[in-house]
Amino acid sequence: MIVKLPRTAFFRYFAAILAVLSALLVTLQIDELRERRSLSLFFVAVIFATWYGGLGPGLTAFVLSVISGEYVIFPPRYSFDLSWESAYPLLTFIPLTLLIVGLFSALQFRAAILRASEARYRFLFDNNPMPMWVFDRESLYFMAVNEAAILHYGYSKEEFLSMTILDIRPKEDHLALRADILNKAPNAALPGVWKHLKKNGSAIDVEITAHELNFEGKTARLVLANDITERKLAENARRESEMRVRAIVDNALDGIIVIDHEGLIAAFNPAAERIFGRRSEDAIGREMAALLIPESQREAHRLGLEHYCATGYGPILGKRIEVDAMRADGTEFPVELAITRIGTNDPPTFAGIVRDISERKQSDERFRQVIEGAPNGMVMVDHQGTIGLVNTQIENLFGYSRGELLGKRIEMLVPERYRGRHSGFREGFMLDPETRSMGSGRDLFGLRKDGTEFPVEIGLNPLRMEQGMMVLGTVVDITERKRIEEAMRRSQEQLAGIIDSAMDAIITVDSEQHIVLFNSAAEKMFRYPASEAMDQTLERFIPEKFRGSHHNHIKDFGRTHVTRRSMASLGAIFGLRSDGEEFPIEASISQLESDGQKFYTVILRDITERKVAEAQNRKLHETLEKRVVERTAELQAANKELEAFSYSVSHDLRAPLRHINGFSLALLEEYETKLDDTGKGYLREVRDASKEMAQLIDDVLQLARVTRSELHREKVDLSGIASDILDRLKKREPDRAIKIIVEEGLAGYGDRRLLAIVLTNLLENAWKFTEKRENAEIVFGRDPKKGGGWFVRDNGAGFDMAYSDKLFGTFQRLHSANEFDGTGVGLATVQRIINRHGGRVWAEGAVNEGAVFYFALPDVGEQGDEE
Amino acid sequence: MWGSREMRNKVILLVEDNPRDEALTLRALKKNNIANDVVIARDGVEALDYLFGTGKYEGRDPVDLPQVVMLDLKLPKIDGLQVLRQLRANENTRRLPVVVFTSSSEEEDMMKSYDLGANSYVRKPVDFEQFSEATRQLGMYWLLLNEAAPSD
Repeated sequence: MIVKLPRTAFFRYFAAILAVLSALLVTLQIDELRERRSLSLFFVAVIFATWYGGLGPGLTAFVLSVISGEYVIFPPRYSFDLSWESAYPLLTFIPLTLLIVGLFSALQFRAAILRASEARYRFLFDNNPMPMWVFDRESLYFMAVNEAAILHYGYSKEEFLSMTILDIRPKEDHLALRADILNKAPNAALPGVWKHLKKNGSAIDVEITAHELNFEGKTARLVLANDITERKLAENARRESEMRVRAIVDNALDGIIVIDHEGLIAAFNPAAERIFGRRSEDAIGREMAALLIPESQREAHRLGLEHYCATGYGPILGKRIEVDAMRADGTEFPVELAITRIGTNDPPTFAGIVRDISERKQSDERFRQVIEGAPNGMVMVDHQGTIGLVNTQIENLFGYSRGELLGKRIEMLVPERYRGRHSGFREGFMLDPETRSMGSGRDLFGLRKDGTEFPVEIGLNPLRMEQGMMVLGTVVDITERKRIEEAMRRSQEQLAGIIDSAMDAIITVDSEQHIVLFNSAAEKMFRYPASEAMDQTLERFIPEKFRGSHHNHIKDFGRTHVTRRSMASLGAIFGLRSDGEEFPIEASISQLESDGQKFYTVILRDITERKVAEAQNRKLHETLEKRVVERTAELQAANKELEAFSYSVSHDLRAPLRHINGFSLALLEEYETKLDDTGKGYLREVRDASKEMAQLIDDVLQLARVTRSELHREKVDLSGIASDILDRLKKREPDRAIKIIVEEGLAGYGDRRLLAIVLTNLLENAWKFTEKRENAEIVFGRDPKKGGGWFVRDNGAGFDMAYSDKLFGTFQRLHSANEFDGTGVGLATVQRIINRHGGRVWAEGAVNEGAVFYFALPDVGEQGDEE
Repeated sequence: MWGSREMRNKVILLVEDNPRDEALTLRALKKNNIANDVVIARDGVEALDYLFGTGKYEGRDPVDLPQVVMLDLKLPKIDGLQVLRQLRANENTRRLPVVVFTSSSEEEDMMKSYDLGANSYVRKPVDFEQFSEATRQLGMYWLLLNEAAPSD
């Protein structure tokens, strides 16, 4: 019906009444015209009322109609009296009307029910929280959509109804969609997950449930769209998470084993495969205890599992324990095991994480060995100061046995007066642990069991172990070291004392010439206090003009590896006093290397006075030298004069002698007859005297010459010379019967000429003094017993040993001229010559028993001249 | 007197400054019958003059050389060594036998003399007998035995 009148109860009844009235009116009108009184219009009105209003209004209309009919229409008009005339049409009208009303009502009722049902269904459709729609299977247009779809997809109802389902699908799905629609059986539910597009373009994943039906005359599909985007995401996330867990489990280094409440293996990751040497397919389903636990511990495990399942009491759950495990090949090895219950399901499932700690155990063992074998005491404490580990050295140092120490507080090893502070320090260390020595700047002591204390040095090493932060302490008994330190300190004190009391200034500088030591003598010398000197460089004490070269000298010296040397070679060195006075110094420098640094120590002596003295000395020396030069010149002049003199002497003195001799002889010869014997005698004396004098002159000359002349050393054939001399003597006096023995091959080392003179003198003496001997004998030989010397022996007149010291004196004679000729110079000459060679000459003799004259020369290489 | 030798009066040039020595030498020569002409030069200048025919002996023929020169060393004016040097420098007198006859026993004198070309060095002994003997021997040798280089 086009006219949309509200179908409220009022209107319905009103309409019914109105209809009846209308019918009444019309009937009245009509009835005026006709005779027949009918209720047909009332019949229509009732039908109308029933149609429009429903059962209630219909009945109302009926009743009204009856009443109206009876009252108004049918005679008696306007009264409720029933006549047979009126009754009959009414009796027809009533059942008929009732029938119609009933039919109509029933129809309407059904229709209403249908409509209500439809409405209900419509309601459910419209209010379904999930998007739903109906689309035409052929045209694919939307035929109906619910609120949820509108809300979810963003299109309005009008928009939807003008769209096809393709419009909510991504383009790529269109073909598949069409195929799907066409191919599927009409009544099949078509679940599937598709991508839909919202109006705003975002894509969602939708689970489609569809049902084919007839809708509004068309073959349509009813679709329920479940937006599972989130669910999908969640699923993806979950899948990913699962994969992650899978990856973790698969890639874990530790073995992860899952067992059920019966102890059967449900999962066995690759690490577990590796650790136990079994493949997971061989392990899964088998009892873990039988497979992986050594026989000795199996029962314990099984009981524990049972106990837990029964009582929920599992002390080992969630804790890390160390147990023995068994590999596939039967070998046992230590593992670390942590077992947790998975989830809260009953019966329980357990996951065990297994770590093969054989290596760790080994390294633990090694660690233990290292600790044990360390030469120092080593003690490990936890963060509370409880001793967890000690080595034998600790036992030795402190006098406790291991058992007395383990588990106790470390403070028991600390002397009482330090204990309080020690625990404080310990805590402080824990807050900021780093490897360092303990108690820097403080003296530390350890307390032995017997109550004695000893000085120690402690090093601290924080170690992060599995049990938490531990501290490994190294304890060294430094009693000995302290003793040495004390001794060193004392010796250093001594040294400092020495340095300070030294008279010489001692200054030490480093490689940068900064003064590190400045003793009190230096203070006095430079008139500068040591405290201020410490900041200075050495240059402060060197006159400016020397600073550069000084610096270079130190550098050069530093480069050499000489430890010390005097700086005298550098020439004049000067120091600079604080008042600017320059003064000469004598210095020596030494270097030493300590800790990779070079230090130079100079020892200085103010030699101002000495220099003055030296200058004076020098002047004196110069004066002396001058004097010496003068003297030498004088001497040389004197010598020259002497030479000239000797020359003169040799020539000029002899000449007159010659003359004396000559003329005396002439006189003797030519005036022989005129002279008596006495006269001749006198003349003879004159001649002899002149001869003597000549000899004397010669001898003295020789002596002088001997003193003056240079020594030319060479190997001299003494035997040869002796023989020559003796031959000559023999030739001179062929009449003399004398036995001569000359030892062969005697040689000496000296001046040939001078040694010849020696032999000449000695042999001539021997010759002379054996003159009166009958069986004279002269021997020249060598006596090794007598200091390796040679000798000239004769059996002549000899001499009195009492006067032996006079023997070699100049002009000394032990015999009178009556006995023997001689000038007394010969032996002096011999002595002079031998002495000049550095040799020795001496004589032995006895009166009338001959004499032996020995002379020895120093060996080659020993000789030194008198010069 | 000696065979093929040209008859020349053998002259001894005695260079001696001391008259006593001169006297004794002459006496010794006479004693030993070496009665040659003895020319006395009393110093070096005279000696050279004689030998070179100059000065005092201007006019003398220098070719006419003495048999031997007996040369003392200690001479006034020019001493013996100088004379010797000059003698030896001169072509004419280069080979003239010179006997250094001196009282000096100085080795140096001896060396120098020989270096300068003296033919002999003899010390005058003090003892006259020895002196005499030495003279005789000298005379005998140089005058009789020795063959001097001929002077042209």
